[in-house]
Amino acid sequence: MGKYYWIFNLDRCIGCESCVLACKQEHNTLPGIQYRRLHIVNPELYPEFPTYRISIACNHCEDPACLKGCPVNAYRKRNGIVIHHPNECIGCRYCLWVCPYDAPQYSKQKRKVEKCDLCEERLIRGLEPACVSACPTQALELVEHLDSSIQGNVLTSISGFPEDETQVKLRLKGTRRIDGVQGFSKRRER
Amino acid sequence: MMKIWHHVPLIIFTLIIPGVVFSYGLNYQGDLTFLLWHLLVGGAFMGVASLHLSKPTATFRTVKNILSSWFSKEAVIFILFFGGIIFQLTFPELRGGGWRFAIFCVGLFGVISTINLYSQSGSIRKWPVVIDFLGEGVFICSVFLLVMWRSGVVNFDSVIVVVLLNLGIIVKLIKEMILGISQYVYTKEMYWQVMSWGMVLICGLFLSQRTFHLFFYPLLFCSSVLDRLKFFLRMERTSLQLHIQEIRKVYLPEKYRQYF
Repeated sequence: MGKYYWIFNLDRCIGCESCVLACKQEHNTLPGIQYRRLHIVNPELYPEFPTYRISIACNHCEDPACLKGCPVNAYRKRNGIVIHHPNECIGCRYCLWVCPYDAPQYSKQKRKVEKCDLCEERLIRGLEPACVSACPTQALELVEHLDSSIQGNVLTSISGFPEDETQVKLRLKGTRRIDGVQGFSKRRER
Repeated sequence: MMKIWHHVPLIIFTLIIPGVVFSYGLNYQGDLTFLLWHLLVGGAFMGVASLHLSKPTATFRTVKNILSSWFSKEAVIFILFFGGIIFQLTFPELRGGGWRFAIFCVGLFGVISTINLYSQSGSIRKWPVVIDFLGEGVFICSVFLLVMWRSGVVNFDSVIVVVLLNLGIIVKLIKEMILGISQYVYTKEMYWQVMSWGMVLICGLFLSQRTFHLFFYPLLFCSSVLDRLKFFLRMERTSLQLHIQEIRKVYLPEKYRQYF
């Protein structure tokens, strides 16, 4: 059984939004629906305050809040991927409220919720998800298991971000950290 | 406007149904009219609540995930609560104190399910939701009592009615004050709203009971609807957006904060 982890390198991301576009193209989503989004911290580019771009889609958590909260069992887990079944969905939007990462998206046209399926079809064909293969700087990676070389370099908890109640499978890499320990707090002390 | 209309069924549901449950428990008179009134009002607003779904006809499917979803638990428990009232209507021997208490407990667990359902959102703190929903439930219960008393559905001694009515107002006042003073309100504007309501209510206590009820109940009910609307609009703001704002607040140097 595969257990997929997103690895996102904060240093490498240049904010080109290729991952967002590739995802939209792959899933042919309607306007306003984005399975993957790019969040920018400090978009105004204030000096003395580093700018970070964080590309986030469904993190396919170990203990997904959407799966637990859905009243009609529209969410299932298959090979470590949280799959949404649109035929089961009744459009209550409860999953939108409980997901800390805003992964489920409500389509007004279809009157149903949609979300990232980790490009399951591409994975079966041995390809990477569309967002990963489109990233020009390899800031976004998908790994099946966290080996020791990866685990040593990633951040497990991120201060200011949603608490890890769902055992999220996103790991951030980078020297410019947003946990206030190495990056910001030292800079502010000076 | 679309955003607001989408929330209307849930605003009505989350205000009225806890009110029905508390009214059943506090204003209980086991006669046919009382039970029928609660069944019809509760049933009608349960039906209205299903309109917030994209597929209202598939509402029955919401009971499928009862083990882990509070949504399913809420649906099942309220069905049991109203089923209990139907049994009481059908069999007069079930209208005694023990049955009344058991059915009220079922309804109370339904209200707890509703609170758990909404407090799981990452964009809202849990304990203000508990105070808000329970406080509003008791207040709406007193609104029901006023309507039932004026229309002759309940025949309480007027002293008991006045005590229960004022209890509703006082609970709402305390609730608004706790949420206002602690600033654990859902939006910044609500802080000023709840504080001004508190002041108005204190002034209102010097009026006669009749003027007080006729003037303040409609106003307070409107404020409850407005508060709940703001609650749901807050729920629309996703937790990740709020967390990213939090990061900015924490780490942005002091001199740049004036630009926000």
